[in-house]
Amino acid sequence: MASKLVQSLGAAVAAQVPEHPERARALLRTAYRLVGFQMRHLPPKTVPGARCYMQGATARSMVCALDKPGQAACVSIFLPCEILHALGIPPVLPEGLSCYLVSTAAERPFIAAAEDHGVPESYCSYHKILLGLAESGVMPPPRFVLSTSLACDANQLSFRRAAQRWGVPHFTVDVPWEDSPQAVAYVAQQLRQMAAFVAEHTGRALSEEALRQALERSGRTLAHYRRYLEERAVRHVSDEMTSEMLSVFALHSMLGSPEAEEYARRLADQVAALPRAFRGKRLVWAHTLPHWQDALREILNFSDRVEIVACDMACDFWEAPDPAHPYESMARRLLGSCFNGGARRRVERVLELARHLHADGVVWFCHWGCKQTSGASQLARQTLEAAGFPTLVLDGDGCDAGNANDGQMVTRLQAFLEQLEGRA
Amino acid sequence: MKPLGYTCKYTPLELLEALGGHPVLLNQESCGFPYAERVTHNQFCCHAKAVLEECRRTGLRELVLVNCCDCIRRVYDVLEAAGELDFLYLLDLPHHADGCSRALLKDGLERLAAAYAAYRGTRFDPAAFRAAFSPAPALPEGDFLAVTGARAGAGLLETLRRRSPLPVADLTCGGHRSLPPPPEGLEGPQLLDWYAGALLGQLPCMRMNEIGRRSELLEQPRLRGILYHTVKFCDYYSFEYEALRSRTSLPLLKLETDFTPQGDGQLSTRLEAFAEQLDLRGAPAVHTARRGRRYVAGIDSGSTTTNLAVLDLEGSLRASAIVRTGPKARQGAEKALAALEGIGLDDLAAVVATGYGRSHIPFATGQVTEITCHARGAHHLHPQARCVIDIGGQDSKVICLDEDGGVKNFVMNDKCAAGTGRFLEMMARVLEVELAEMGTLGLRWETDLTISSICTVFAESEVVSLIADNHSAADIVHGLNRSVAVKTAALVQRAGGCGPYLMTGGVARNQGVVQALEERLGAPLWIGDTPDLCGALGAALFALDHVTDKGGPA
Repeated sequence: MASKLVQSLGAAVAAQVPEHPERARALLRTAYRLVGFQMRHLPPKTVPGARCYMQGATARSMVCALDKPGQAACVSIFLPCEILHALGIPPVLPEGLSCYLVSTAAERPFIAAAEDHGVPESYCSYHKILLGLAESGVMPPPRFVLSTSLACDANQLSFRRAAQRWGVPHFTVDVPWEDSPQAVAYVAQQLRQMAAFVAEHTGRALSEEALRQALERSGRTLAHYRRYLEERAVRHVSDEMTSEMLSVFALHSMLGSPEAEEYARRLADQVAALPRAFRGKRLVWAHTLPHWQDALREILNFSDRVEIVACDMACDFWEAPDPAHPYESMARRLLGSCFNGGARRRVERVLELARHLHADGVVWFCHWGCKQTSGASQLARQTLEAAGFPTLVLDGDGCDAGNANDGQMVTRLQAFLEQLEGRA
Repeated sequence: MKPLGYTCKYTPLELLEALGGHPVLLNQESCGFPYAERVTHNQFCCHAKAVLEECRRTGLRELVLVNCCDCIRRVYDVLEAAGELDFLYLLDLPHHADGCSRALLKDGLERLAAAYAAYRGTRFDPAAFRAAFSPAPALPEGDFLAVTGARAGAGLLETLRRRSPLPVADLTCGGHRSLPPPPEGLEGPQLLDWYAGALLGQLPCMRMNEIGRRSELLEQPRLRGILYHTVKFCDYYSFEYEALRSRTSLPLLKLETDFTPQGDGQLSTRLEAFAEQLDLRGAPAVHTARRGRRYVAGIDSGSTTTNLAVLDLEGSLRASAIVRTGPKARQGAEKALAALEGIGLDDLAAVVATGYGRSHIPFATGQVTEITCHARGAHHLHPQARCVIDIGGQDSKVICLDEDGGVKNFVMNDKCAAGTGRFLEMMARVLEVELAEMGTLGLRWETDLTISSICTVFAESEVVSLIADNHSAADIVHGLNRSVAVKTAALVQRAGGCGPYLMTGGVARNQGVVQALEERLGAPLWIGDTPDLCGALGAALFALDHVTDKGGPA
């Protein structure tokens, strides 16, 4: 259960959504501005500084989403955003806004708004909130919508529908399942067309030099992040359960921005400064982390017993950007993502993380509505366990408590930890 | 001859036939998904699960899948890991249909052809390729209904065709694959390039990027109504249904299935009510009004109670009875009849049966679905009503009325019990309070609790947790009432319902639910003295029509 203050804010937002969406928007904008201010000037001492820095940056990104209509670019999570950063257009990640709304205890009216407009109950809750934001009018129309077919069907459906609802232009990048030279050329061509689309709808010319610089920043960000993983592989970090979701932002919609580079640099430096020591059990977490779930936070937050050492969503590609060939480079990132292609590719990435980060076990989190994750769950469990990593397939929901059995999830996670501790 | 299984209309059937393959559409429902859920998950598209079951059940050795959706990709992954098939291939299908996509698909077709030819030890046969093109299935000649949306299983199609008053055309992706024959003179790479374009040029399914042409599917002059099918845990088609609902002027009925064999119960009620709405119902099985008698009756044979209304020939209510149905509809009806004082079967000129058990009442002279009967009864009781909300023991429904009491549209809850009387009964048991007490207990709430679970089983554990956290029964019941209200309001929204509202069914006696629903809808609910009797009253009015020769849907 969220704090009383957050609950009150959530209730106040919920009360305004049906009749006065602009008031709900103003409340949320103010709240996220305050988060940005707090993270910059009064960061909590228990949370690593780099995380606070990134929290501030993402909070400001959420403010952009809720600011004046027609400013931001609404993007899907895997869309390469260097073109936008090069043009100074803020990319807004609605799934990220879903995380923020859940943390504000304000998700319920948006889920209801989506379901009232025919969105099926079995649909991904992040995308339900996204559509609820559009249907309710709380999120104003962006300048345009850019999306990829990666990594799931919901991208295809939600962004098309949201763009229709907002009445704004929409561009989709189709990412083939197979990674081949033809596929690289196919995606690179679409990314060039996307750059032209963005230029046309903003009236701004894209400078090749600015794009090259954005890709260089992406390269440095990725290098810092991989350095962080090297350091983390031999260290314990007292951290929040959901912290790696900040890395997901930094390595996707924020990739190519100075903020993402700064975050990854600070993160690597700060973790490198910690003593080389292990404490408690180490988990690799596959898929998203449930922001709403305090019962899981009680187990996983700042704990000496257990820590999440990596999340596959932040580690879906290792391809270093090639600033000399920006479009082909971004295309290879999409095609090479472990969320593209067969399930085996993703399972192997999780296995690689588990080995490299000296994990004791893996949690394969089946977020409600994510058929790719749930469909691969047994394949993953068998493969990971055969490689010596006990695996918990945990059914839950990243942002809708209504689809999760809180008590049962806690029991399963605790029993899993006891199992890992028994192996010691 | 080994069959080669496929599921998607973009599968290059002609190419596979030209290489000696024998393509067979996998489209059978499954009685359960024990294998599929063991290798994937229960929260997984039911069609994809049925494909896995069919592969196992039939011992299929060859399968070509298309990268059509998240679930089919995972079907490929688990089958590939199991390694039990002789030939398994996933063809990558672009989301776009432009020139670049065509070139990409052509490459993919070349690779598939090479793999299949190597497996079979055959070569591409140009004559067999050309011979494999067959014209699209013809539409029925006269008026017809179309089933569209997500793939409909063979059993569902058979039931729809058997129960429908008009021929049913299958316009789902399983039933309207159509490619033109290849132009003469093309061969080699040019022929394959044309073929890739022809595959991509089909009427798009919902996973494609450009779906504007899908409207052509329903632009048929003799089409009288649309049966829109969605599959549990397949999300694509609920989006199209929602768009279609606001766009089409044709009557539209949504059917959601889980790719298991469908029981005739709710499906036939929906189909018959749809036919009544279209005024297409055939002659009733029994229709002999008995002249010279003083009364008519309507019997609503529900899952929990059987309700009986008796009218005199002037249309005034003379008697009524509400009894528990028990295990058999016939016995429930006889019990209701026996509960009447001074009126027996010999006094009844006509008896119209409605409700789930309507076809099991031997003394009924006609049958009408509960949708049409509720509409009729509601209009009789409160002519201003434009939307009937009925929450019964097992299902809930919303019926939109025109000014004459005719059915404009209706929706029913799916198989799930959430939001029905049964849900409240189960929760009363968990809370250890009497069902009657539930109606008022929630009115004394102090803390606003949210029961967010959509599933009855999850909601039960949520309630148990709230009890453990020392929340009062009143607060919990209030939360439950609100959850029923949210579910019901969503049905109203789905039906396109607007006030004035009238509520019927046993749950209309529950003040807490009524209040929560009024708040949710922002409008009052009109509730008669005996809300459970509305369906029986409508049925009795249809019986009266027979006696007074007005006719009616029965």
